[in-house]
Amino acid sequence: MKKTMSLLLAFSLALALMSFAGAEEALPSVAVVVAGGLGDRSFYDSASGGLELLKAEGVKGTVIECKNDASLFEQSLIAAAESFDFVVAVGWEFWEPLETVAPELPDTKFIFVDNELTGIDNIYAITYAENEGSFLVGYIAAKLSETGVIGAVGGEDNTTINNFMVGYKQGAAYANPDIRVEISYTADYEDPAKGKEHALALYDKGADVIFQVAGKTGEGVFEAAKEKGKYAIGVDSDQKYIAPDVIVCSMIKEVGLSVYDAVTRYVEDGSFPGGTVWNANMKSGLISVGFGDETMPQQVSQALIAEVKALTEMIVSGEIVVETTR
Amino acid sequence: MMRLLRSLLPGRRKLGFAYLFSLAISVALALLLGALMMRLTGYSPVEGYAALVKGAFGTRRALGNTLAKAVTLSMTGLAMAVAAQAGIFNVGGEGQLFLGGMAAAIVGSQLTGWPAAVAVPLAFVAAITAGGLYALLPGVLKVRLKVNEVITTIMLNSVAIYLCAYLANGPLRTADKGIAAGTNAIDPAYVFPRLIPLSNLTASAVYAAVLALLCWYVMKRSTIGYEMKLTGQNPRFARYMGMKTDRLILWSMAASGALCGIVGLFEVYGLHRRFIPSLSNEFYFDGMLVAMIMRYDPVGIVLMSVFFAMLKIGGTAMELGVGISSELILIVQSIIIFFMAAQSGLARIVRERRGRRAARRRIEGKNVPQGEATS
Repeated sequence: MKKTMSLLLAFSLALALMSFAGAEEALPSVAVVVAGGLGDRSFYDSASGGLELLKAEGVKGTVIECKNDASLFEQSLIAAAESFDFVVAVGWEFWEPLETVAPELPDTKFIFVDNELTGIDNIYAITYAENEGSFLVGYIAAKLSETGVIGAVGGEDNTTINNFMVGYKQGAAYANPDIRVEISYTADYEDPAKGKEHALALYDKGADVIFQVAGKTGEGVFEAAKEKGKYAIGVDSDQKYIAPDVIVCSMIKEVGLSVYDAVTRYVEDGSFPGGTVWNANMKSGLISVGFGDETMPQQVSQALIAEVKALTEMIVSGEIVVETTR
Repeated sequence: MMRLLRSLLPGRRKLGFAYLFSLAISVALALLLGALMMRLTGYSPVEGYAALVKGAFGTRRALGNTLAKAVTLSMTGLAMAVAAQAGIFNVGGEGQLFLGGMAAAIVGSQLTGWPAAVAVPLAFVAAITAGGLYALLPGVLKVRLKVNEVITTIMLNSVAIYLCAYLANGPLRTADKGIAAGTNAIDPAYVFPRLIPLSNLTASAVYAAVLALLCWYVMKRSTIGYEMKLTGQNPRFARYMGMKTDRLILWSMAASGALCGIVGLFEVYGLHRRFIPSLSNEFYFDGMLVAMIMRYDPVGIVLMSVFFAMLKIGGTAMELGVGISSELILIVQSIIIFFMAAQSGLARIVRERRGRRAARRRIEGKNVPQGEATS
């Protein structure tokens, strides 16, 4: 009798252990599929940073780069879905590929970054209130400008990029109603040389601060700023470290953190709000302005930073409503 | 530079046994170097290459993707070869591809509700016309004004690509939600069916097979192909023989552009269902390399395309499965191309050394019979 009891005990212990091990294994695996390539020190790198955060907690994951080859979009999503639980599609370009692929792969959970695709049960879309962050950097740009002209270089004339632009303009006008905002589109996210040409043209038009919203192309804007001794503003990640003398601040859009949040929420309570859109805004803390760290020279005064903080609160509380293109 | 390009044109050089032999050695060496790099970065080469082959042919879907990539490569490669046959170096295929895709997308999105049996052929006509006429432009400049086609075709690429980007962002931009830039979608009835579900392999492959056969026949078996070849090898001789060389050049250029235009149509009707500004990611230049490596031989181009497609599709799977960076495959490809570019030089060195040794032997040992020394 005793023997049976002890056997039973041992058995149940083993079972409990096994189920514990099972819980360990239950962490989902995550594949991040990016439309372009890593190394932009901006949008795609931010998404990959989110995966690194997840990996630090034991999640298995990988990044698949499509390198702007549109014929690989669908296939990369499918390949990712074959071996991973979560597939994060980074880039608005994945709209149609996801529409085609996701319904065929109902067991995979898709997170779609940067475009609001609703109504498909296994796609959870995340968009960002870039307009709110751009409002703040527009305000800073207008305050720093001595010529009364500021500029922006956009990667493409489309809804997402223009969501930055409307906020930027509004923030600038909030600081100085007479400010002139010059915008130039490069139609390319991967070519720093083009970014530089566009920035040089804007500086020649009298702009003395330029906001880059063009991914890797935007690195050329920093080059132009260095050459001309003028100011630039970074995008998506805190880019100040790239050129601390000319980048006054960056509009941070925490793509990586939002992906991290979405996956951890699922791990914690199993919730996956498929079919819906999460607009990550300033209130959620995923949109902010970065000024690098203490070791870097600061062009923005403490007084101005305090003003920006006050504006942040006004946006969060809804006192200031920032225009949007969405 | 020009001499280098000219040396790549098909002339007296054929896809002979010696050439194929050195090609095989190049490929083997490149794969060996790739294996060495896998070793150095801490991966097992056997595992890596196994994952590559499995990733390219292991499942039905993978096989479909590999074949689909091979279709694009071989069609662009054949387009290059058709022009090269008449001695023209068409570097403008990328632009011709974009215009063909745009023309086909316009037909498919404007003429909605027509029977597919009417609309799809019309789209083909549009793509062929757009690509062909656009290729004729540098052709006419070459024939009439002796303007070098390499320069004009390269520059016309930008013109076409930016024109299409303008149309897709401006007058023809769709109002569909979520599409940042692109034309309206073509009628769903016109979309090419997929031959393997969820893969990129569509009915394009069937059309491509027919076109490849046609290319082979024209280039290798027809009189016009022979005349094109003579024009390419020795235009002055061909003219004295009474051939209308100018017309031959124009026709081969138009055919090359038309093929590129059809590749654009394949991308639109097979994959994207609308024209998008990222329609091609320098597909033509990949095809050009394949054509150059295979010395513009149509059969060789098709076979080499399958090999390059295997590297491309398998490379991604290798990265996913084993963790070896897919950039390694780019290195392997580059090494193959590098070796093949050096091949003619290397072959000459080997030939000369052998000749010199034979000559020396003839001088030193007069007792050696002549026939043996030259063999």
